[in-house]
Amino acid sequence: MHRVKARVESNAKVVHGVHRLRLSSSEIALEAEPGQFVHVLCGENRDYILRRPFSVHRVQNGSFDLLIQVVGKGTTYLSQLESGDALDIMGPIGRGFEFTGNFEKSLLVAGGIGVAPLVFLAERLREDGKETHFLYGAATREGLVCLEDLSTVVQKVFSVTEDGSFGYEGLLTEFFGEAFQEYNPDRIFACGPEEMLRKVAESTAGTVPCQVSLERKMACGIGACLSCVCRTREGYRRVCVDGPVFDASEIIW
Amino acid sequence: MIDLSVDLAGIRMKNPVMVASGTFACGREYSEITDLSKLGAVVTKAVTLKRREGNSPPRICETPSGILNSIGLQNKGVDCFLREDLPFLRGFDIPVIVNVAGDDIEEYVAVSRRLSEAKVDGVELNVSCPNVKRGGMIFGTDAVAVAEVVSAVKKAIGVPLIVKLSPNVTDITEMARSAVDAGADVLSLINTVVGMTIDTDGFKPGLATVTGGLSGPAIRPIAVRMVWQVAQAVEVPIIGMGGIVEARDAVEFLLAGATAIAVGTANFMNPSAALEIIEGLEGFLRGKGYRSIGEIVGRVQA
Ligand SMILES: Cc1cc2nc3c(=O)[nH]c(=O)nc-3n(C[C@H](O)[C@H](O)[C@H](O)COP(=O)(O)OP(=O)(O)OC[C@H]3O[C@@H](n4cnc5c(N)ncnc54)[C@H](O)[C@@H]3O)c2cc1C
Ligand SMILES: Cc1cc2nc3c(=O)[nH]c(=O)nc-3n(C[C@H](O)[C@H](O)[C@H](O)COP(=O)(O)O)c2cc1C
Ligand code: FES
Repeated sequence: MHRVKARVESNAKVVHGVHRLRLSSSEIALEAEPGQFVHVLCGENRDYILRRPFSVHRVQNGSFDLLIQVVGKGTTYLSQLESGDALDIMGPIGRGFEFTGNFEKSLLVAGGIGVAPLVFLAERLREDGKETHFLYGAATREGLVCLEDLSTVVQKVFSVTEDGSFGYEGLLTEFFGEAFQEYNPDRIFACGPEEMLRKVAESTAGTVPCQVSLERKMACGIGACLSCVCRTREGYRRVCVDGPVFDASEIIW
Repeated sequence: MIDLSVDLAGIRMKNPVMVASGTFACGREYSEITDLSKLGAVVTKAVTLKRREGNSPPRICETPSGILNSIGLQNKGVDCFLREDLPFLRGFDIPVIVNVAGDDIEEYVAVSRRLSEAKVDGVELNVSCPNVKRGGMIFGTDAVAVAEVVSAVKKAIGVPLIVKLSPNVTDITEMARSAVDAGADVLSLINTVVGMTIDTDGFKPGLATVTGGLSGPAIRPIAVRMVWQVAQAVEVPIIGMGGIVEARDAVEFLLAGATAIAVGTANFMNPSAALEIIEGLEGFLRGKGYRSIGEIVGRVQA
């Protein structure tokens, strides 16, 4: 893990309320693995003081991307950055997805902004020559921000929107069974709202291995303060460094 | 050369800046990105006799200029601390002060004795944790109970005894006097201030434990006031803390009468906060023409 002053190379508005920040840091770009995150100081302010965690979304040569949904003060600050600005970042942090194991075909399940780390994972899986399918849900067509990027990386995307403006209409979890039957995967990787993760975990329990990326509010982000714990079969574990990716069978929901 | 060294009842520190209990674990995590050997001292997360699970999540909320936490006393127990963490901390050649918590006097005594036998540099009695049902703050908000636990531990150990006071009392000087009369060599203050937040959409408290402990810049004026009051009431050295983010904040505590200071919540934003404060203090003293840190302690013109 490093602490760096990363330069903003670009800040692109993907759709209303979602930004893609490209940050220069060869250390982080080189070391980051899919599912790991960076802990970002959102301005030198005194009113709100904690860093904010964001998944590494993609890496390039010497830089990496964050995909940021604007929900509050910190993300608003990040959405207003301009190229050349500097950001205080710690990372890469945490245990990412374990994707080197012995499997052929995976299904990646993304709810909303939970797509961020899964694009990185999909790219790595393609490099490894694995067959990868994607179940992707959001509120509206606009919310499926990575649809175009994914089309070149995975075999097939199964899209679901709550308002039916694209793909199937409803909640992603209502279509999980259908997608599972269609692709018949032997690995599941999921990231999104906790309720979605819980349902995915329950539907796969005892069938194929499933890994989920959890979210918690974080203070230190490096394993020291014990504020980010989740309940697991081995007791409380820290989402920041024991996760954020856990084997779904470990989690007590 | 500016002399930053301080002596806290025999704990010799090369500068007055330590890291506050619970915000730095046992240093391992931070050692990757900051140089522990430059710190005045490390204060560990609370250690209890047996392993503790801590409180249910959510355990943290951000509040204006602060955070509210309810970690509880999650730790692996004193045996595991002595086996795994103490040898690691010893590698940095700085004083190691161990924060001790318990449900009853026997537990405080048993843990402190083990630590004293292992020759830690100091024991800090946490009689002020707002996040446990028994023990903790109960001891720290009752002057008679403070005296009982402090004198019992004092008899059992051979290393300096620091007592960490709770701000959740009407008269902090009463607790301070009681602790000192019972044998405290050093006082540290303040622990977190009891607080609560409510999510106005879900109508639920922000923390699973409903109330928690407030820390960060939001509590600094309370902490400075309490350090100032206690400095006038007792003779022992004081470790001041509460919302220290930069060197000027530390200077406030020194002027109020603290001999040393601790950095807590600020570590979360800036893992090098303590190191920057050490440099900043040196610059501050040089700028004002002082040669040693002791020259400004308690010098507020109130
Ligand atoms: C490991 C990890 C990876 C993440 N990756 C991404 C990512 O790639 N892209 C992205 O847009 N977001 C991601 N998040 C969520 C992101 O950290 C929060 O949205 C962000 O911290 C909100 O900050 P804010 O100051 O804008 O919001 P605030 O003003 O603090 O709060 C606005 C709302 O966001 C909620 N919130 C605050 N912090 C968190 C948090 N840590 N997790 C969940 N909700 C929170 C608050 O409860 C509140 O409802 C990730 C979170 C974690 C833990
Ligand atoms: C996450 C967290 C955990 C803490 N754990 C302990 C603890 O185990 N023992 C203790 O005496 N104080 C504990 N404290 C209190 C701090 O040591 C310190 O007294 C308080 O936070 C005020 O300082 P600050 O504003 O610089 O953080 C904790 C504080 C925080 C924020
Ligand atoms: S955020 Fe501090 S331990 Fe995870």
